Amino acid sequence: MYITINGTDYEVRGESTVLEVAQREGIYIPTLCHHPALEPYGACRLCLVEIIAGGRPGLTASCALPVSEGLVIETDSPRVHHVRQITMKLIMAACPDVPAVMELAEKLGVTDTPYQKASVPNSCVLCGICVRICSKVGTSAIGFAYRGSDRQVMGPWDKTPDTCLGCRACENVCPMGLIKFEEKDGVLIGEPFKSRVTMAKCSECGRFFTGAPMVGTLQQRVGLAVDLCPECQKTKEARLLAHAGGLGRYFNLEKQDH
Amino acid sequence: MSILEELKAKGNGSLYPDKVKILVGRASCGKASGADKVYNTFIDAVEQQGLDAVVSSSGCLGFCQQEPLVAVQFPGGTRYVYHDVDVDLAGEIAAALKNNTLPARQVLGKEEEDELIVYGTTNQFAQKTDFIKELKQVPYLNKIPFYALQVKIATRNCGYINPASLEEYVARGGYEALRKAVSGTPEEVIKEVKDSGLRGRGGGGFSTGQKWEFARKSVSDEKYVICNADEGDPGAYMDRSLLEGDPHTILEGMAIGGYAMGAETGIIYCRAEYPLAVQTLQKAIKQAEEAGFLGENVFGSGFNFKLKIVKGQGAFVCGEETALIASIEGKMGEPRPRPPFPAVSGLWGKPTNINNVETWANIPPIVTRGAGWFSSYGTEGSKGTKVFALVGNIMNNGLVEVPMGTKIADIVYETGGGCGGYALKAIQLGGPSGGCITADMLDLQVDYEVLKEVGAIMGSGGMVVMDERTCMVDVARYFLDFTQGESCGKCTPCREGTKQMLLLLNKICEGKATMADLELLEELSLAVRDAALCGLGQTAPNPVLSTLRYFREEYEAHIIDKFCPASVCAALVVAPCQNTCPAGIDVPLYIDAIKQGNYQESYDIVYRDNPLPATCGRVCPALCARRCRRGLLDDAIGIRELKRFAADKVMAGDYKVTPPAKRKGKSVGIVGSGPAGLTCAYYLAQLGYDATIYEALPVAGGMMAVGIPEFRLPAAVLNKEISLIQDMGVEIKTNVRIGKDITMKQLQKEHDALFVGVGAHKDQALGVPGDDLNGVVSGIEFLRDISLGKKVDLAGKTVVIIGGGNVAIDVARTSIRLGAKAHIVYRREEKDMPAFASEIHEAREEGTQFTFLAAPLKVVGNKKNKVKQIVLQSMKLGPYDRSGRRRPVAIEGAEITLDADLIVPAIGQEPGYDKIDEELKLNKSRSNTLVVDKRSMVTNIEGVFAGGDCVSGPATVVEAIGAGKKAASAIDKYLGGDGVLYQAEEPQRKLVGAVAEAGRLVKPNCIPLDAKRLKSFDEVEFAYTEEQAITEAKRCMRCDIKESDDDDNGSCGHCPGCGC
Amino acid sequence: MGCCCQEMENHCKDENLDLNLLKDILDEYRDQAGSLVTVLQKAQDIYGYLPLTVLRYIAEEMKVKPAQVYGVATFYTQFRLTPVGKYVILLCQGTACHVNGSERIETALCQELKIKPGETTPDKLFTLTNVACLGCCSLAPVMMINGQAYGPLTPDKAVSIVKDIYANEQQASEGGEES
Repeated sequence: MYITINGTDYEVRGESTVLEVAQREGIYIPTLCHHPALEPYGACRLCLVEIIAGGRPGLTASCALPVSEGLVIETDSPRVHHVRQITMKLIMAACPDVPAVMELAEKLGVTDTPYQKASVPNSCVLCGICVRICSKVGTSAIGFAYRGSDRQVMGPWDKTPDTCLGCRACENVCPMGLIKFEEKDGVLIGEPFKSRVTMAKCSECGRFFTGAPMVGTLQQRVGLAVDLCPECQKTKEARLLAHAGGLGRYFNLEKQDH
Repeated sequence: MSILEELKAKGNGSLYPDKVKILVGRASCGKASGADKVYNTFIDAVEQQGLDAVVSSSGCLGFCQQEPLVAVQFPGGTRYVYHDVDVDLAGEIAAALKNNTLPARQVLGKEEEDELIVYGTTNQFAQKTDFIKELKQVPYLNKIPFYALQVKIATRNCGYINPASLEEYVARGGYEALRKAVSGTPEEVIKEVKDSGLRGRGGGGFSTGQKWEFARKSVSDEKYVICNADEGDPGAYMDRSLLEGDPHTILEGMAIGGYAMGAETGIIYCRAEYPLAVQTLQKAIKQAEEAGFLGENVFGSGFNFKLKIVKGQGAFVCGEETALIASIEGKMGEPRPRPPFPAVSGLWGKPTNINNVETWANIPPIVTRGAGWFSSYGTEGSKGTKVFALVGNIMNNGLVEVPMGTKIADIVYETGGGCGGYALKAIQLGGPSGGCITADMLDLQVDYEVLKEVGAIMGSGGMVVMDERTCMVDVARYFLDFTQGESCGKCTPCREGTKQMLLLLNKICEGKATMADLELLEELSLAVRDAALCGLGQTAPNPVLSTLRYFREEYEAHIIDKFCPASVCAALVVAPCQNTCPAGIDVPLYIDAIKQGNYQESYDIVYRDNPLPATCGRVCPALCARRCRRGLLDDAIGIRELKRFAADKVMAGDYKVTPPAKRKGKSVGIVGSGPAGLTCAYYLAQLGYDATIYEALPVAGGMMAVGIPEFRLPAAVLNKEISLIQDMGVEIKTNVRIGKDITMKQLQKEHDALFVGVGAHKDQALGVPGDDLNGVVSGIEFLRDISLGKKVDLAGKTVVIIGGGNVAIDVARTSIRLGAKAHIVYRREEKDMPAFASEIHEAREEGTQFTFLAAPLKVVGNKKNKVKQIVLQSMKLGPYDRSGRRRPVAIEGAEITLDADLIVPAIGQEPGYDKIDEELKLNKSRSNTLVVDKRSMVTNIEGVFAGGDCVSGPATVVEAIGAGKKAASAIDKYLGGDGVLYQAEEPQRKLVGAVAEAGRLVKPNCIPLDAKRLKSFDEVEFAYTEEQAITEAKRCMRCDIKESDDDDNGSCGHCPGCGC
Repeated sequence: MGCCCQEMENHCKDENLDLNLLKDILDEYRDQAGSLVTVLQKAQDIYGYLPLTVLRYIAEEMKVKPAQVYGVATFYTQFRLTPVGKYVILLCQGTACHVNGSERIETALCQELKIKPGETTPDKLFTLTNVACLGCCSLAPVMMINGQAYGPLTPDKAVSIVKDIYANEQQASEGGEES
């Protein structure tokens, strides 16, 4: 199957969406709510492309546009370019002075926004990646609430999410760097979701190293028993290797039955 | 006997019982109007008072505004439908029935046969007709204007059956279509639906048959059919009416659809705001299940189908397919990107077909009558009928179902009865996703493509009529406010874009925006339309784009002039009266001054904005009073009469004006001493300019002096006001005609700027044979001659006046005073006459005869070529024209001949320029008026300004005054000033003394109508007495006092309730 | 699963809610896919609004993620998370009503009840809400109080309807309350 992007034909090699093909070929299409590990969401509208032929003509989100034989699209036609810039300006007005937003804007050639800026500082662009990843790998501890301009990501009842594992996947994926977890006296505190997760202690060194619920979840889902912090885990693995290689005596390691 | 036949027999028995049947409309509109009480009155009459009748309830007959509607049907006899039935009338009906008769009031119409759309037959159920002589004149219901154009296919049963009766539904053809469908193949059903041309009635307009085909083609173990009953468009309630009035048609339609597409489960998604509809559906589903029309093995075909109801819970976005599906799945109503389309992967990932309520309701008759029958209605691309919710500023409010292709003019004027006394401004189609069309686009047909082309949409059927009291910028703002509140918030363009659009619109409505903001708004609207994820966001900008397309000037007025022409946007309006006045007089303030007894102060307030208060106090049509909020309670305030009272009081004394001390040393020449010229000159003189008026006639005052007769505006009053203007420093040179005594070029040399205010003094000729005979005198000429002192004796003569404006009326009343018989001939009907209603009334009272619907054919002269007779063509009313009035059409061969001594055409005036236009090469419009820049009043020649009737065409004194003011300000700017005519402090607005809670308009006294009045030219109307004036002034509700709330709504909490 | 968090809310104790009232509904709908919205609707019919405790309970019983329950409860405007008054006034702000002066009705009602839209009077008698469209457009402007529609309204009429209800309530309650 072949699709045409910006006048050049490309073979589809197993990809499902136009965005995937474009990214494979290094053709830049800006995205915000897209994450390779998650289903396409189609919310930010930055990845819009113009369908010239082979589909319903007009602008559509490339992250969700399935590849099909004979599809002809433009990633930066004048129409797309114009609309994309305005979308970026809208985001800038909603989240003024956020470094990640400004970086993206600069990449798109947008310097300022003519729209009324939010009076209260706000960094969340509502891309939903945190919600979606928590749903996929976590426990859906956080979700969207309210609607329209009041839409927000929060824990249920806007209180500490009961089921947060402390896996910190949300922190990992937030494109704005808005989500931050901090360890404090054995409790993992995550903002802005008011997460409070008791941490598990390493059975070897006694340090806190992850959310306690994570330990239980890994055991339950993957059958993995985790009770060591990463460092101790590394040490343990090194010992095993050395022991397996018959070099145990050089490393002061004790034979242990595991 | 089959189940259908059994139910049909029962149903017919209950539809046409052998005793009197009383059917009360008890859908939501009926209930809200008090139908339940009416129903109970009848029940009571039967149960407690021995009335021998059957009482039942039905859904909505469509004429919602006239609810409660009650149909009374005699066994084997006529059915009469009563409107606006209250408990009293119900009692009367019940009592009259005991004597086998009925009251003769409030009868909307009668019916003697029922059309059975599903079968294509007519049931002539009334053998006994016309037996109540009081009701002999009652028209047939389907002939009255509201119903005459309607073809009820989707709403065929609404108002005729009890929605809780399965039997009645079957008796009128119900479930026959389902039986027929399942006895054939699904493909046959789909072909029928496809060929019928039925398109989605929810607004999408997609071919229903094709959609069904897609769903059928998808292979899956499970499929769903869904009815979108989320009807969220504000102003539209067609679906509610169908659900409440004829629930089974939807069930049947969905079952047929399920069969055709291979779906065994149907879901009706009904919004929570329709509790009665949900109840009605639940009952109907149960009945259908019990009868075997739903459930297992329908009609023995092996097809299983079950239906359930899911309630929405307050989210307009759930009217969008994918959001609706998400809602049924128990999630937030967030739309999903398409593809994949629901026909492939919808509810729970299975192929799903969603159709609107009205679409489903059309299915049963299409199946029984066939595609050919359905497609015989409508246009090439849009077949069948459409139900519209005709609401807003319209006389006949309700639900109408008309064939596609019907002209919107017919819907609005024939069916809807027009706007009442206000001018139609726009019609909003399709709710918040739709656009507007303007008053001169009403020739458009109802057709998907036709409407799309003009920037509107068919939508789900909302048709909101808006008159001159609506601000189109406010309408756009209102819709954006709605959309913002309903946006799900998922995608950036809708969530953030509509928010920013609303912010911009608020800015515009508050008078804080710039033209750059307008450009930003338009650019953003187009981008949101292109970029949004779902239909809600994509169509949200439509009201903005559509109003910008047709009402851009209104936006510009808000931005540039900080003016809301419709007097709606509270931040820009002092009070509706003041805002509507072309001269911007601070009406509430001067009325209050009268109330407090400060007549001089009142006069001063008026005089600040209008140097002709005594004149206007006599002749102004009071455009302000049309918008007076008191008028919504009882009567509009006598604003004009109060103005005259104050003016007369002050002018009776020794009132003087003081010319300014500082002179500008520049001079302005004004051509024409009518109100435009006088006003322009006055303000310029007040600013210190030398102002000279050149007037061709021997007297000053323009139309005020030579057009308005003495008995309406005494020359002494006018001259006093003109002399005050002269005292301000204005020089008036009469008997100076441009082209003869002086040229414009000379004036240009002599002055630093010129203003042309020559008015519109040239009458249009009759344009028929004989219009040049001796005795044909133009209306303006006639009035001018009398004003200038010509002695005319018309004793015993007949004067026939052609025309319907104030000139015609003035000629008639003048002729009578000169001893003649006056006869006015007008080509349309009385209600279409442009003359002031009060003037028409006066003319009639004084003895003027009127002949309507007649137009001149020829003037017949005697041997001396003097007028003898006039022959008129009788007319009848044809189709509506752009002015919203019916065009008169000749009745072949029908003529009227009138004897006449004098024929006076008064059919319209246009400016006469004495070659001013040629000399200066001024640009003119097609109607021969001068073209000027709307804001600066300048013509195409620098330094030459113009205003008044010569620019606008014949209009009113006060409009000319407003133009004169605008021109003075512009001329001042042109000559280096700041354009500010006077400095005034922001006045204190306080309520001193209560507002009179009750009280009608105080009418000023007049010369009693007797022979004496008719011989004299004395002023007919007197000024208010002091007592009258103060009583009237107390009725003013002071809409200019804004309560200081948090929401700057212009609320006036102290008033007795403006009854808006 | 109880709260494993340190912030202990008192919501479990504050309202004297009988969660057993939900038993039948939960039994009927527990296993029906997509029935969350329906269950919440019926719960609101019972309690008049959706208390936090009820939402948590429903999440537990139906094995639906609390975040989803919360998202749904806050998405739809007809779900109320705070108690409402005895009489819920739905004031229609549809197009036909707007064009016929619904804003003035709103102002009059706000002034009479001394609350803003969305709020409840201190005596818990009236809640005032704006709704997008009630579908009674031919009777514009319209309001609905506890399912009963009233129209066409004037500011006067609207206020007097509310006053009548208030007067009836005063009469009904013996001894009368201080307003």
